[in-house]
Amino acid sequence: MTTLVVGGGFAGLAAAWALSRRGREVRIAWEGAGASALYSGALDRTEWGALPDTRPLSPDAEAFLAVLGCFAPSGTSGGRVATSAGMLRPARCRDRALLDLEPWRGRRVDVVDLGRPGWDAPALARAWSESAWARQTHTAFVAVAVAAPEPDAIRLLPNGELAARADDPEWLARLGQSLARAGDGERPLLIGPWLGLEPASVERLRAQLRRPIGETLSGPGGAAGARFEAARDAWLSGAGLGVELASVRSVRWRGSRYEVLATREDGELFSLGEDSGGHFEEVVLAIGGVVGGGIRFLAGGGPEGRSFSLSLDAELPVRLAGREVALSSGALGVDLQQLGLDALTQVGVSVDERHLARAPALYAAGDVIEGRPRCALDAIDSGLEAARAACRTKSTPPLAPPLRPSLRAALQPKSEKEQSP
Amino acid sequence: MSEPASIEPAGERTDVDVVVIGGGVNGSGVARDCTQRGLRVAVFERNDVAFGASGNNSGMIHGGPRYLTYDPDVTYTSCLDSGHIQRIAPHLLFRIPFLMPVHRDRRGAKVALTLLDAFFDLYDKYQPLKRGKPHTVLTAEQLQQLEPGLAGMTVGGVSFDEWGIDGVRLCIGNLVDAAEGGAEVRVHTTVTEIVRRDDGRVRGVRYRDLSTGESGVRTAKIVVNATGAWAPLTATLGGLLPESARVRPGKGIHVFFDRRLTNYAIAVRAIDGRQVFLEPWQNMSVIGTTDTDYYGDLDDVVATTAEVRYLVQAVARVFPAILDARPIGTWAGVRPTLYAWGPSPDGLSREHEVIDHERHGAPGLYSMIGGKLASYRIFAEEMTDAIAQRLGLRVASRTHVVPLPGGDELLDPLALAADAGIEPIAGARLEYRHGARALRVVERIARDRREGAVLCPCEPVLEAEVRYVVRHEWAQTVDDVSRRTRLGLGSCGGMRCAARCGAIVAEMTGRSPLDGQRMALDFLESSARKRLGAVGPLQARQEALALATVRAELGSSRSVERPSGDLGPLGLGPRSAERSAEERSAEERSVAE
Repeated sequence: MTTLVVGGGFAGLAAAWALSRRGREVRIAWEGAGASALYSGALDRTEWGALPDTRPLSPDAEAFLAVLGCFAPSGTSGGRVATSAGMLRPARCRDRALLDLEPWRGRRVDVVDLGRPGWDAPALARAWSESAWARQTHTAFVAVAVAAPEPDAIRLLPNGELAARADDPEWLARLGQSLARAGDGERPLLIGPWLGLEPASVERLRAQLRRPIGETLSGPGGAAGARFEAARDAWLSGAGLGVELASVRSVRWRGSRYEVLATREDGELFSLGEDSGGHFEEVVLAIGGVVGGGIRFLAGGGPEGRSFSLSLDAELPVRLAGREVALSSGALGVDLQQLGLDALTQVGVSVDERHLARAPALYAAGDVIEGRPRCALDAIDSGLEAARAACRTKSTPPLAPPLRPSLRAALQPKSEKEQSP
Repeated sequence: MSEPASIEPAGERTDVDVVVIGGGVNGSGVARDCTQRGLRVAVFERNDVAFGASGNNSGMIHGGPRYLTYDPDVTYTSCLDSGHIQRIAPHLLFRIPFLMPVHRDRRGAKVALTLLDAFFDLYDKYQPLKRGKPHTVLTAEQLQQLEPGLAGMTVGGVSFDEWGIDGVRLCIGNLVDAAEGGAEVRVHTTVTEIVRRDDGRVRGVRYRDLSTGESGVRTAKIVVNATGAWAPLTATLGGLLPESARVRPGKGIHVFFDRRLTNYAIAVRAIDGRQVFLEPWQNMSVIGTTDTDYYGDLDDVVATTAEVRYLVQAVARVFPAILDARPIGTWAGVRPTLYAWGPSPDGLSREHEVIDHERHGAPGLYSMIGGKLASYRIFAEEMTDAIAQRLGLRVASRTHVVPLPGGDELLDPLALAADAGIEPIAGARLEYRHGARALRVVERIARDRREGAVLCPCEPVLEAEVRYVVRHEWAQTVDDVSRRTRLGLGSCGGMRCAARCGAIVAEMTGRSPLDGQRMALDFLESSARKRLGAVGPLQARQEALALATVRAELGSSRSVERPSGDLGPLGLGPRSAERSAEERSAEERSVAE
């Protein structure tokens, strides 16, 4: 029994981990970077502006995060992290490299000022100090000047490249020497997202410094996403799961198994799973929403008049607020202006309570699901749930493929409305 | 030059001689001309400089070949004044060569091409006025060679020559010049009443600063209503009927794309036969425009999906690659065209007219109606002539010979960049926007090296420029900075720079960091709203990512704390006492002068 997980983000990886732990043979396929690789370093179940999330994580979620090794323990009520936009926000879980401010409430935090343009430490320190949380807890942020080991690199490199420098132990050691002396040498240090693309780098720095240090949130394409990808790749190679770097083009039910067609870089279509002699009894679609590329928006309505569609061919309708939006009534596609910006974060396939999509043994997880919050922890939870659902389901899928909803409607007896005069 | 006090007919002193309502191109042009002729001026702008049609147009001071057949005067004045603008602001101008293909499927295509040739022969007579090149007739092969992306069988076409300009920078240049000549300039300040004496003469205006809530009075001998499409509404503030300053409001939209798609602008016919175009403009491509009667909210004009589709469809017929191009935003503005009942919006005259409201019983009150970007200067001159005549002032306009700020000297942008230690592209963009004044911006970098940081990587915009426009060009919000510098208008939609820009603006205007975050969110939300009507497949992903990023970093507008206290309509908190004191002393100075 082989399960194919399509998507290498939080949801797909969580599903793959949970399935393999339950003894399934799992293959995972993905193409390029999605929303997880672009995440900020904070993991939440709901949008953080809402009520504080104090519910404990499920044991499965805790275990999954621990296995990856790049996340801090979630604790009972989560932590508080700084954003480079000058805010302090709650985070239910976080990348280990981020500085949790909760233990330092009422104290002083030193903000590292490396003389880097675009990182105006005094202004940021002032913004954080004046935020509601800092005022309530009497926490102060003060910029402290640090002599940079390589001023030109600090001045010119973009965030991601500067973070990559920190993976060089020698460079990191020099940075550590400067940081150790900053301020009074004891207070916690808050720094931009530059402490390595490898999860181990920040631990190395902390061992050297013997004072707390951590990053702010990462912008898109920053260090946090890269560290997640590094942790994922390390776990996958250790666990021996089959990984396909391919773009899945279609997932079709062939009576008793799924036929999956994909392309690699050469663009040639091939049947995924054929080479290993296997075939897939079940598929978990964790292909992402609009950001991840799992749901595509076609402005002109596309060749089939579809405005929103799955990035692969599968018999799943795409919905928004309970309404099917795949086929649009406008000659040139849906009017996104009328739907509003939130439509882009709400659109997706609908699933039942068992995460089973309409087709047999086809499960959905993560941002591809309609109307769920686009948050990392929620994506992980949904990946775990999809795996759990798959393992609960007996491996005797129905023999006949499901009918398209529209076709089924046509075959059903006429509705009462039509019968009445 | 006459002593201003002596020209007051009744012999009494007023705060200023002229109050100009409106910070668009007409208002700023009049403010500059009046100031140059020795008059004391105060300008009030309800939103921001170039907020309306002046900042939301095709970005050309074209000669208006479209008007040649029925309004040759407009073509003549447009071309003549286009030449003047080139002389006073050479840094702001860039050449836009046009191609007009004639498609084979058009009935009588060959005849049409011959007619076009003859038509442009006529237009060529005006070209020397604006240093334009004469037109050429091109074969189908030549057209294809010049723009390989052109589709469809043509019988050939013509080329002609126009000039591009950044309308916002033009307005800013005029206002900065006026302010340096002593004019008081207030943005985000609405006039609440045009005060009149018992005999009907104007006495000044009452105003309210929308960001601080402060109100006040400026007495004046003359009040100029230069509020474009808002003109009828403004007239009512003086107790006149809206019909006394009637306009026919014509909405026009543009869609802009993330890069320059062509080297030449391409004129095409829309489905209804109207002329629309695709043009390379600064570092992007723009398609435009529509012309429809508009009766909605003038403070909130947004391009609709339907309007965007009309344009994209028209351009795609001739340049199909537009369908795969990435739209990153829209402009929408409302033209204050001269009122006429009957003609289609396209057939309306682009003439301008000064209305002397003496005939409505309000001597001293004038309205400027109609006009276009290319002829703003001559319109301002005519307006100022009328004012001068009323005040008995005999000084002629010199606005066509005195350079605008930064237009006095041409800089080498590459040398500028090398000297300042900034990227050549950043130097070039800076020099474009500020001309010789770019030196003043880079001086800031010499003082503080951090200001050399690229804040907005798409454009690019330096931190020094952001600080400069807050300090010297009345920018008070992220939106204002964006209008002046094009920050946040590139392909990333401001998600990399809005928060930082908000922090700088808040700090410089004495507001709290939280105010800065709110400004950034407001900017991001409003530009996302303007983009939505044009969002295509590639942009949709970017849009969703921007949303996720903004929510991770800044929260949503629902989660950002908003103070419960009294807020101006801008949604900004009150500024610090320090700033108010600075403003007060500036006011005192301008009153004392």
